[in-house]
Amino acid sequence: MHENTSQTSIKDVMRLHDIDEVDLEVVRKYGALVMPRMSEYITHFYEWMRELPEYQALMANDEVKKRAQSAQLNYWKTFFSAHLDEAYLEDRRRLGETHARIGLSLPSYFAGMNYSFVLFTKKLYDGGLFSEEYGKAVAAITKLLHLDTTIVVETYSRLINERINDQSRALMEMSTPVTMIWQDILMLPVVGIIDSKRAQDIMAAILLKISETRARVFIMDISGVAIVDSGVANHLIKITKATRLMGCTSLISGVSPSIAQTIVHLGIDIEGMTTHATLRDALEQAFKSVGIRMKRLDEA
Amino acid sequence: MDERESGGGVAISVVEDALLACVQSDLRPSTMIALQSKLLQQVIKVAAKGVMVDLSEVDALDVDGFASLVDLTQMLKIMGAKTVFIGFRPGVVAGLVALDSDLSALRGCQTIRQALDLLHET
Amino acid sequence: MKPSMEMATVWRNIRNDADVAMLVAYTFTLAKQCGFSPIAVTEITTGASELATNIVKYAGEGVMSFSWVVVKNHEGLEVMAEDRGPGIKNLELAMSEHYSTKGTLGLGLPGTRRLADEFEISSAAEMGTRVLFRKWKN
Repeated sequence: MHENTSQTSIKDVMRLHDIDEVDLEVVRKYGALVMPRMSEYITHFYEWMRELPEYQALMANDEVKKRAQSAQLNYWKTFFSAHLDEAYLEDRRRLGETHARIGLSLPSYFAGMNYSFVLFTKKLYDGGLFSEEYGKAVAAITKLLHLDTTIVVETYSRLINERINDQSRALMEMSTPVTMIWQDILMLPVVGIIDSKRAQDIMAAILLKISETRARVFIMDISGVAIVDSGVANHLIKITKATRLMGCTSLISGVSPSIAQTIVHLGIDIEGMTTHATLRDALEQAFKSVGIRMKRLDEA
Repeated sequence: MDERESGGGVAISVVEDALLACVQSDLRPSTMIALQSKLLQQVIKVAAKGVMVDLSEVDALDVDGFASLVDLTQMLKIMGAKTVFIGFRPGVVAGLVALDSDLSALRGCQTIRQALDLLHET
Repeated sequence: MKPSMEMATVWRNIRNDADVAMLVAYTFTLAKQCGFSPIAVTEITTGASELATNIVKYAGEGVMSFSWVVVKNHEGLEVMAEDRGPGIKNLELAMSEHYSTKGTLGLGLPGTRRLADEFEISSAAEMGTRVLFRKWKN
């Protein structure tokens, strides 16, 4: 539930960060002073960077280090030429993607930007501007830096989120363990919230298992499911009908008193779905329908 | 089992006291027409009270195809025969659910034995 | 034990299934923390789930807020669901007790109302919908 800022126009971006053409001109002017000293910047920065815990992992070898340095030089070159167009924004997005890909942590990224800011506005400044001009330059650089950081962080976060979603989806797929608890009887415990994606996964898993095993009864235990609203009931009904079309009867077990009450209060018609309070009751019915009767060992 | 009728992607034979129609390919409209006409003819010829349609070779079925199967079931019912479908594939069923078809309109199972049992139920 | 909610907790940008799932989990936990009985927890959570699902299904996007209300002799939880969607054209019809034969209850509002102790709904075509669902603790 987060805002999605897709391709906003350059004007909107500038307005959002309170940047105007004057600011950009000031940045360019300041850039002319510090750009000749870029090699010094790199030296200082990498001295500082050696302190970072991730340094060893990130700068695996000289080849990687050289590429990183040239990317950095390029970054500051575009920064100080302050030409805000779509290409500039796209470049920052790609930077975010790279950081996500190489696994650079956000705190380290912020620290690096902060240190660079200090380097450019203090260490590498030769004092050649009037104090008012200098003040304006620092302010403008701060704003442009914020813009860059925002884009990089947004892109980075979005990618990390996507990766997490993919992982949890994979996890979900692994956690639909339909088991054959007896000859011709399948069982699946369902836990948590059943939304349409989960319902689809359950349906796919159970239908596949039915076709493989030719099972005649399927017990879906929902004691781990928090609530059954009309949407969930709909999914359960669909699953029941789908399995029946493949010759397998579905039984729902683990229906709590609370859920039984809410189903009735909501006025949901469970359309002939067979439900039981406990797994044991459902099993008893399942055995009966496959023609099995349980007898104690000490019975006659 | 003796051969009664084959062609158009549909092979019909007799198993115990029921008709077995095997659909050998996907259910194209032409195949569906062949299925319907052949089955209806054979039901009269053999005075069958039960029909089994084997769909285990059918990979895809859309809403129209499903509706045709429901129609077929109705036609056979009017002619006094019960219909059971064998071997609906998981992918096909999942697809029909996604398209919101009413799956309870047809009876299905996995084997010929199960089908015969279903046909002999009251 | 009731949480000390002085202001409402508001969830904005409810747009999809994942958002609904998150809201359901949140409501469940909140209702439990507020000390409601197991059946009341289920009723509140189920109601919230129905309202959130309606938002996503019919309006595309909406807001839900949760607050503790205290009136004369009772206090309890208030769940509000609001959207700027197409609105309900015939509110009376939507709120009347008619069961459809096939188990799909449309907006499911009469059912949701039965889960609540107090239920208010306002809606206008093209303007949006606002539902208040209250459950008293005592």
